[in-house]
Amino acid sequence: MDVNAIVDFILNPFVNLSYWFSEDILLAFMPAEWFWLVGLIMNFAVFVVIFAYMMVNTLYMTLAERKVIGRMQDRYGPNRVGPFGLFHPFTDMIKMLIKEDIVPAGADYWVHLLAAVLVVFPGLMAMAVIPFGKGMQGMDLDIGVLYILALSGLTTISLLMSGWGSRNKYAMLSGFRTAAQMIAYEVPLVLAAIPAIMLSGSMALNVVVEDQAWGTHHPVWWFFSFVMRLAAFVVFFISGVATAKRSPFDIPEADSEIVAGFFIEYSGLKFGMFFLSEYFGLMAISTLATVLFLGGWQGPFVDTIPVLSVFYFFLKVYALFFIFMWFRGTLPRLRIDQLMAFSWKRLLPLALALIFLTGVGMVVLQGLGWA
Amino acid sequence: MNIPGIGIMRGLKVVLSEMVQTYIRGAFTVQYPEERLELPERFRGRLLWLYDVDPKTGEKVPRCTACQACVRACPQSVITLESERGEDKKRFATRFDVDLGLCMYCGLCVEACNFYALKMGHEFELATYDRPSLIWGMEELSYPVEEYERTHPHDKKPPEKKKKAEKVAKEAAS
Repeated sequence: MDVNAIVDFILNPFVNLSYWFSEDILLAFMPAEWFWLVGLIMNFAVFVVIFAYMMVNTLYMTLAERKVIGRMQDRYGPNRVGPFGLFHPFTDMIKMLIKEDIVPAGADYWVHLLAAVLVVFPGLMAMAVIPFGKGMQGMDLDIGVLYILALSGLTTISLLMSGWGSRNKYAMLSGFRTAAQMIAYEVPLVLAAIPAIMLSGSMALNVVVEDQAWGTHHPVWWFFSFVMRLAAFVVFFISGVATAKRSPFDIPEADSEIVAGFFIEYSGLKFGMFFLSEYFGLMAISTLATVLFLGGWQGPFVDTIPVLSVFYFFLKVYALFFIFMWFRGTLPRLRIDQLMAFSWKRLLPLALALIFLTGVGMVVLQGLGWA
Repeated sequence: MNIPGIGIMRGLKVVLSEMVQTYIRGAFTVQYPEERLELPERFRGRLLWLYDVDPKTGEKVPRCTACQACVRACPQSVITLESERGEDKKRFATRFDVDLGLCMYCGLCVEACNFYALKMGHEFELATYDRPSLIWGMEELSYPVEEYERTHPHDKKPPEKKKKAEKVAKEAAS
């Protein structure tokens, strides 16, 4: 065997493995009348990988959250079920699966069911366009950022459905409150993503990532873009914490006060779906923030060893997850009126100001020839 | 200087430093049942029915005189005491049953005992699968005085029997 070939394979294993699912190989294996299946199999392979990863990630993020928050509170997290509690998510999963599925009497059964189904989709769909590493993207959309930000609107309709379908006036009120919070924080979220798009000149996510490398622009432009991205990252991250309904903006769920808010009447697997959707949403926000503002899979030696790009990407994403957990372990909950005032009166003008500054800076630098 | 968010930053720093500390010095948690907290000396665990050990014969001499003071003091009436008078006209207990399942570990019987015979130890893990096995008799409740004095150094000891010693000292002096 050729040592160079093996080393080349190992340096970029995922992209090389995906060759076995590319059109050439599949067409060679398929009998003639099944050629239409080729596209389906290629996309299905991508779906399976992303879905499996998201499931395992969510399972272990629930454990990681409990252990990290436990450590912040001067106690150990769960550490009984396996070594360091590593089998704990499986027992949690089994518990959720064997619970009785209770639908309130007189509730609208289909709305109740479909709300639980619908809440999981946007998080999963968002992962299709994120570049996990160099050349590793489920689907290369030209409007990737717009696609992901549009999906966050879908979560709002699903939580209104769950509030209505529960036939519980408090769940309904909580649904209204949550919808108000989501709408209020989606505006700064979208507006904060705009400076990143302006600086990169494209909404396609792999272009945005590649644009953040050191050598692509003049150094002054790079520093300007760094400062603007950092400021926009702060606004995006705070809006993201609120969009994900996490502490300190977790009035919708507020587990120590109002039990569960809009998903109070859900049990068993449907509750599991809401639970999953929270972590999928966190993943979508973290990955989008990494790609737009923190340089995605960029890092030292990425050109020579492409598999390091996956490592850097996940390092950044899990650092953001840690910050989410850090906020949850530290900050007290905001009241709904404080939360809304913060969004409309502080974050929105700040995001608009950032767009203005980015635009002015870009025009000035391009005029000076330092693009 | 009023930087918006400075309070939040300080709070986040404190929590992060606490988290790092748990990796350096360990968390506050006592992982029962592998680790246990050290109990205070006067912790009211299960009842101990004390016996002295006669230095010459090595025989166990219970301190209980079957005066029924503990039976009268107990608010739950968990103690069952039957006694007989021996040849030396002294009473001794033939049956001393305590229902540890019903007992509320208040210590009133210990306060009532005038003969320093009934004390409370540190054992509290008494759970069983059937209630009748929680009625402990004399043999199970018996406990040597030396062991009790070792674990409870601050507890009041019974007064030395002075009369005989004074007699002997007087005769030796005269």
